[in-house]
Amino acid sequence: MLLLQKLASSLIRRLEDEVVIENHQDLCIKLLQEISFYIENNANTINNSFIHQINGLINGKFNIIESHEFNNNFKVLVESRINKGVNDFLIENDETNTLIDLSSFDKKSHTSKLVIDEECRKKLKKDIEILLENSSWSSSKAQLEDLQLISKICFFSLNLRILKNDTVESIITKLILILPANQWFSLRNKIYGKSFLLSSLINLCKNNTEHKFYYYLKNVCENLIKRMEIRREKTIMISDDEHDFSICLLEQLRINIALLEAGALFNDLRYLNAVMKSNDRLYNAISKMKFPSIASKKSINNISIALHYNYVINLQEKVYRSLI
Amino acid sequence: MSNLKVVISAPIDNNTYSLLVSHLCIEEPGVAITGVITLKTLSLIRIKSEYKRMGRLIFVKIINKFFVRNFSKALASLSNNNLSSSLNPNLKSKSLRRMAKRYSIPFIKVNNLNNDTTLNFLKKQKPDLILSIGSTIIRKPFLDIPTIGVLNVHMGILPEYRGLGVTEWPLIESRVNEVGLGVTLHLIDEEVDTGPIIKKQIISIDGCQSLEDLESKYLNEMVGLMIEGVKMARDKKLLLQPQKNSEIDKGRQYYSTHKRMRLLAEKRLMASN
Repeated sequence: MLLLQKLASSLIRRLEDEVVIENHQDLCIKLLQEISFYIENNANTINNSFIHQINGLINGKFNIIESHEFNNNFKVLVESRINKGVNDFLIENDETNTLIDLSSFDKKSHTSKLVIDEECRKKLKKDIEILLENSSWSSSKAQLEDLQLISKICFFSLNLRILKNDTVESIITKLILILPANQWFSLRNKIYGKSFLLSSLINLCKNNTEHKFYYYLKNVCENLIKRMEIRREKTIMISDDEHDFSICLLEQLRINIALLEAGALFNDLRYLNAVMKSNDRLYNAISKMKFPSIASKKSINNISIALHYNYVINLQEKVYRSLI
Repeated sequence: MSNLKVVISAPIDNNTYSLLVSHLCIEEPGVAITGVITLKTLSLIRIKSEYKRMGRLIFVKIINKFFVRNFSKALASLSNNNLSSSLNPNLKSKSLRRMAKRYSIPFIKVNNLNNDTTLNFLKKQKPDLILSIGSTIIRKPFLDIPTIGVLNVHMGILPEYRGLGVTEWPLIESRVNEVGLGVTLHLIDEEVDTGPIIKKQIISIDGCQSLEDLESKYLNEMVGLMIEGVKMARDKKLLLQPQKNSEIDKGRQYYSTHKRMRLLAEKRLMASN
């Protein structure tokens, strides 16, 4: 009996060996180092602006271009993406999209004052209007993808100030009209793209508790933490044929970042609590991530995941430390 | 005057809280326990549902229950819990099953509190009151059976603190002085902790150097409040104060705390003492 109790106690110790913050911090360091090696090995094949952007986020040593050159390149990249057709915005493992996505971490940077060509801006608005006409959160795949695309464009537009807040607000009003707060994360609905819509709503409601989206957003966030706390899924978006697991991871990391921002907006520590638990659940999957030594689409995705993870852990710690 | 018919609904067979409440009900004049329901500890459905909630820590709980912790330890904890002598009954049975056998009370172990087996058992016992011990979701058909309702002691102050981890959240949110820490006696309704309130009991944090110190005060208060509720029901003196929607909206539903949030709660507790 005594032996059995000893065995049981040892098993308990192993089972209780949970993820601690030091594990997260060590993993962040390891991932940033791997990104650094990857860039070093593939500097010839990677876009200079992409290297510049990542360099800023990993405190790296790859000062290949000057900031003004980066700004010009970035403007050209965004404009060409819009002119070519907005559909490409949906691709995750794409350098330009990742570049635009990562610019949201760099809130003080010059990219937030991006001034794009007026014609280009008009084209973007028109494209969104066309997409909005037949889009739906619950119908065909194509209609759903249109809404995912609009959500992503709204997020980018707000961050980079491509469109005016009023314009984005009127687009989002139409989006949420067909999406009740309690159906955001229901199982029947596809999740992808909701993190962008959520971040856009938070962005619009920041410093304005009187905003027309405020109570809607509060309901959405309440439903979201309920789902995360009760179901305790690794990622609330489930991998299927269209989206592999790395996209689910990325979407979850974006949701976690948005939730930390929502916590600040609503002055509510339940959001930090939910994100801490979610980040712990993501740890094993992210720690198994590999960076192939040669440049590939998969690597772009992994860089994006690693930088989102690094960002959310740092943000989480900033909020937590402010409480002690 | 006929006895108040009470059914005990407990999560596990040897839960200290339910044993104390049951023994005190047996000793209480005018109160008759007409049935005891507990959940099957090792049912696949339960393990699956608990796994979703606790992850691999559910296995710690199972190992603890069957190999490490034994009843003598649980009884020893009673003295640590500083139960006042008035609440410390002569615990003659180590489990609810044995207690039920000893006093010839119908006893059932079920997979789910909301299934037909449970409902049929309850309908047969025709209880006036069900004492809910443990936080399992109870659905409307179950709630509709007792004539008075299903009584519960929530480990937080309602309507401000609904849900889980509510012994820690007021500390984390620095709202102990404003709302207080304590327990709330209420009737269960279909939502989470939104049923009519009967009585609140504030618990002082004075002298508590750790969350364990604080939590050890809870059992005493919970048992006392539950028995007070039973007496009120027996004497037809239950005063129900429905929670208004506006009050429920002002409060929040809380969830179990991350271990570092618990650490934060402990730091705040120590700082206030």
